[in-house]
Amino acid sequence: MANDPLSGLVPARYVGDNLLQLQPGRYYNADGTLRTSNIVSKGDVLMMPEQEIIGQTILFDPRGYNNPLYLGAGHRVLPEHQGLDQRSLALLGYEHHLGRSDFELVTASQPAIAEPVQEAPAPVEQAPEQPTVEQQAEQPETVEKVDEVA
Amino acid sequence: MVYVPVRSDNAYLGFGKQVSQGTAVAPTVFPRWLDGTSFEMDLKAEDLWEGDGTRRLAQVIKNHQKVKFKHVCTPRMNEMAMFEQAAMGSGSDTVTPATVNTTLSSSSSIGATSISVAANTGLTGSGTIALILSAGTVREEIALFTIPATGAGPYTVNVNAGYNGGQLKLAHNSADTVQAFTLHTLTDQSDGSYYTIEIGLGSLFSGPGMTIRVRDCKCAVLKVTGKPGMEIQYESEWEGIACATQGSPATVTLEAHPVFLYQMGTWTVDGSSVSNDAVSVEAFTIERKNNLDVVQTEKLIADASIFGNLNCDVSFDTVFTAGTRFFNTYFGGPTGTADAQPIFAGSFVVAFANPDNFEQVTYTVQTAHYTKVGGIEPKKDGKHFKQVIAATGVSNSGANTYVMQTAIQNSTTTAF
Repeated sequence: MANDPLSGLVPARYVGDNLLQLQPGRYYNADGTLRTSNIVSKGDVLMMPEQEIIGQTILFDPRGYNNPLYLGAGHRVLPEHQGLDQRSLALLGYEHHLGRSDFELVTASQPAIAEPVQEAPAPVEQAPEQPTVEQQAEQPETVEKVDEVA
Repeated sequence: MVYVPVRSDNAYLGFGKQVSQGTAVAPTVFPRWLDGTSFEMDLKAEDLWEGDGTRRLAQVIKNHQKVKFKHVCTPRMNEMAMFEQAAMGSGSDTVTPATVNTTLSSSSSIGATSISVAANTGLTGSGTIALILSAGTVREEIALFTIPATGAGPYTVNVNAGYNGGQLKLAHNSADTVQAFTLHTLTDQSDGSYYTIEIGLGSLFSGPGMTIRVRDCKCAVLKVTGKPGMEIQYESEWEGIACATQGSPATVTLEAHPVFLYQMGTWTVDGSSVSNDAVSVEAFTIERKNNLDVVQTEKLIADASIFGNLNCDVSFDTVFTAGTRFFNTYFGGPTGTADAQPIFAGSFVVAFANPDNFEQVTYTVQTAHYTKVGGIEPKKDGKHFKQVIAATGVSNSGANTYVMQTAIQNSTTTAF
């Protein structure tokens, strides 16, 4: 649903050493209830943006002419590039971002709410006047982290 | 037409240390920024004048593009270590583990005058020790205790009377951690670590602004300053390689510890903590420049950057009471009388210790060559003479293992 506040959020546990203070705002516990404290203790689980926890993948044009393509949260590779090693992917313009090192994904069940409608990720506009990379005809597959070929 | 302006404090900068070059990370450290913080897209372009029979400029071409940040803040004890690691370089942090690292054997209530711990390692000496209880939780408390611990296990440690009248302020749970500080000793290294910096400008609180993530950033300059009555301030300059806009701002998380204040400082100048200069420092600055070399090959953006030569400059103002330092710097000795060749070598050490006896930072320029003593100017304003002193940190012809060292006591147990 368009107004679902938990859309795009995943449960994440704080594993850092030090007490954290969230900037004022609305934050949710793992069960979907609104947090009443902005203090985050070690071990606390709260709902965080997925790409902050598991990272994200962007496919850039290495020559900087075409707009980059946001492939989504996590480590993703387009079907036609599956099986390539890290170096080859980097030369093609793949940029895999890691998530926060002080939070870890909790694989507990999601709160019992209606599932949000999955929208195709929108390309990240870097140079609007440039022609775009061909639009996604299909969802990119998420593959396991590609090991570098020896 | 209706539009909604955005307040200019709707902004954040977040830092995350990268595991490797080229792989950005989501930021984890968000030091509270101060005025003077800025962000610049450094675009280099050239005019292309072609002989087409006209006097018109044909076009402008981009040669190079990178990002520059300037961040001003009053860092907390863990944020401070992050900045120091970024400025000092990769592998710069040598960790001395906490001498005490145990757990509570039973819960303690507000007003408790002692705690019960599982192990007495580090608690067998005499005197006092600052311990952090329940670190990283809402029950976190730094308190002063009297040692040695007593008992045969579990062990009892009494709260020192100098802390809150000998009583804990918060309740703590059984199995909560009990730790002394971890010491991080950072010295200048060969090259720096890459960081990802993310900046939000007007994007917080569903604002319409922008969020930009910049990967492969290195710290070009780090300046530490202090003035009477003020907080210790860090001013860092960074250069980053490649940008990506983000669809939403990061979850900003702030460190919940106090800042360091100027009056917490103890100065040791040229080996003395009691000389007139050491007890009359009116302001100080320690500036390190890494002189980044940015490598650009086939693309618009750079491929990499490396640390260049290190400059470490110290300047401090003191109250002028005698000509000794002036004679040392220009006339070869404390009683010199004419221009002399030898450089005046000394040292500069300043330590800021929080009254909780836990958090502390010490800056050490082991060998400082003094290049200027100025500011001793006659004025008709009725105020005192002052000396404006400048020195350069050196390796003492290689004898020293570092030009500058920063030692930080904080609650992070792993290397930065």
